[in-house]
Amino acid sequence: MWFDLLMDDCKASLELSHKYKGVFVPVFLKLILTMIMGTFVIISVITSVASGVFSGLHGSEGLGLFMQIIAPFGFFLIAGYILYLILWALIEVGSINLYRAALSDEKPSKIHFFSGIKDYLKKVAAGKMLIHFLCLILSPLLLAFFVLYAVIIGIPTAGWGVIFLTVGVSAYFATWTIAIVNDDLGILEGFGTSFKLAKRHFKPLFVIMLALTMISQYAAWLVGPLGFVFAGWFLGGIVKIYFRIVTYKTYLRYQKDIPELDQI
Amino acid sequence: MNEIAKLFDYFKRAFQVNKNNRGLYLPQITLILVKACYYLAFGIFLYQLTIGIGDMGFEATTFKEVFFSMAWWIGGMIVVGGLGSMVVEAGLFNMYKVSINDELIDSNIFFEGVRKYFIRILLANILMMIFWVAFAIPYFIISVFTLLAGFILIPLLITVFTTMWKVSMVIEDLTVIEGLKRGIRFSTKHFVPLSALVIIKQAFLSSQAGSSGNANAGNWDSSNNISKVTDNSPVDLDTVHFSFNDVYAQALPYIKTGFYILIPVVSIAIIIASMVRMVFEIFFELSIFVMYIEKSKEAELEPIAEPNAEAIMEVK
Repeated sequence: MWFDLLMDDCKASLELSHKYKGVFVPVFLKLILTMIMGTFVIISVITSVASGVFSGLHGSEGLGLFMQIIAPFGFFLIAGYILYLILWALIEVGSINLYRAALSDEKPSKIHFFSGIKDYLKKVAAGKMLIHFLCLILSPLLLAFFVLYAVIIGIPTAGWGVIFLTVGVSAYFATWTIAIVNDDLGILEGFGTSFKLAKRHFKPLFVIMLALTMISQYAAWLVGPLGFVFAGWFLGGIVKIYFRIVTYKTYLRYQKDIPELDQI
Repeated sequence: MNEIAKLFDYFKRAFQVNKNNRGLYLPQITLILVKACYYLAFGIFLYQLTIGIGDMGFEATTFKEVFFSMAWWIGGMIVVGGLGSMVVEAGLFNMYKVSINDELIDSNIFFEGVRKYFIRILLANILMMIFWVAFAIPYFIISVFTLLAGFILIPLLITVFTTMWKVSMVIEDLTVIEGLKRGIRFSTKHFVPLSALVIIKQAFLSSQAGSSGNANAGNWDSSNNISKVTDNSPVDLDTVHFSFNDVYAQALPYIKTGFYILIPVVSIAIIIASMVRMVFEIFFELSIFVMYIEKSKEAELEPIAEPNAEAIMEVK
């Protein structure tokens, strides 16, 4: 039964992450990423203010004022977005290769992390960019749908409808990066595999994503609101990585059900 | 780590028991529907009150009547909700015990549980309430001194140490105090896995979603605020009274429309939020029962330690 198999995977992942604690290194890398992004934002604000571009704002109104504030940040916004995308993809592919090493009963090391980056960074970064681009193009439609959904389903279900929709969608996108790294697939093949897997084995992926959302949020707040600032990233990050390993194990368990992967 | 890993075996067993005994949901569903009817009736009462105030105008006596009516309804909600929950808890705990032993469950099992454990569960809850009232000020002080971490960690710790209280009372048929002692002993011995289980359970049950449904009574009760505003107002009360009644009469059709939408929507939201919570609650409570039973079996199987030779010499 699917639930028993999922629990077996959860148990195996727990034992694995206890044996190879190196899989949790990306938690600290994500902290460094956040600090880099924070420093970048501060530098961009200081540079923009120091360059004097805001000196003539008092005469402007409405859209003109908005554009005068946003325009100087244009370069920094684009540069920041690209920086974030590359760093995120870098940690993502490196981490998946670490989990792969642990799942193969090898001690995860920086060699695994960097070999993952070398081989799959471009694909994962491009895939992420594709998702962002599609979201941007479809944003009016998505926004209208979300508002309608929140009013018709979200309010009468006291918010659960929104949580379940978000978790359901994330179940479909849960394994595309794993598919790319594990089976050396292209971007579209990775998305296709992830969707097919979620379609055929929706229940376990839904439960993993629901548990990831609920437990990582709760764990981050476990040490109170002040603790959230200083330790929330660590506790939430540990839970997220653990569930990423469970997702990987679930992917490995069910990948044989996708005939296209057998051919590869 | 093995102890935590065993949690997944308990989840497996709980899922299986849950799947084979759909009757476990019946008492909770009944309570949820009773509560929803009560909230619905409260909504209709508020609607009638709103129209009544529109007809009579805002007088000092109106506020007094409103206050007492509200007090009756809120008191009724606490009694119906609180006592109903404890009746369901007593009956359900007996159903868990029976269903985990692979026996068939029916309504008799539920009523047997209510008859046997209701008073004990009521006493346990009263004791917990007394503890929280007595501990409220130290709790606040400790929480502030621990940089607000105590606000979450202290209730969590108390939950860990009292989780097995009622469970041991039901499984081993103990008295309230014996159950408390056994529960604390169990929690001390298996602190890490039990804490992990409680954290996972809390993560699912303390979600922000669904909380809006339970808070509706408080949100609707704005009469006290209005009375405070009028009491402290430096403006001539008669003038305010006259103009406020006029504004109220004009706003009444919109308020009525608001009620027509809010009453069914809030009732449905309460039912759905409670149903989702119920699914998680039954699953995790079953897991806690499974854990208690499994650990008790393990303790029975543990070999009794042979007397230490040095200790024997010392005694001699």
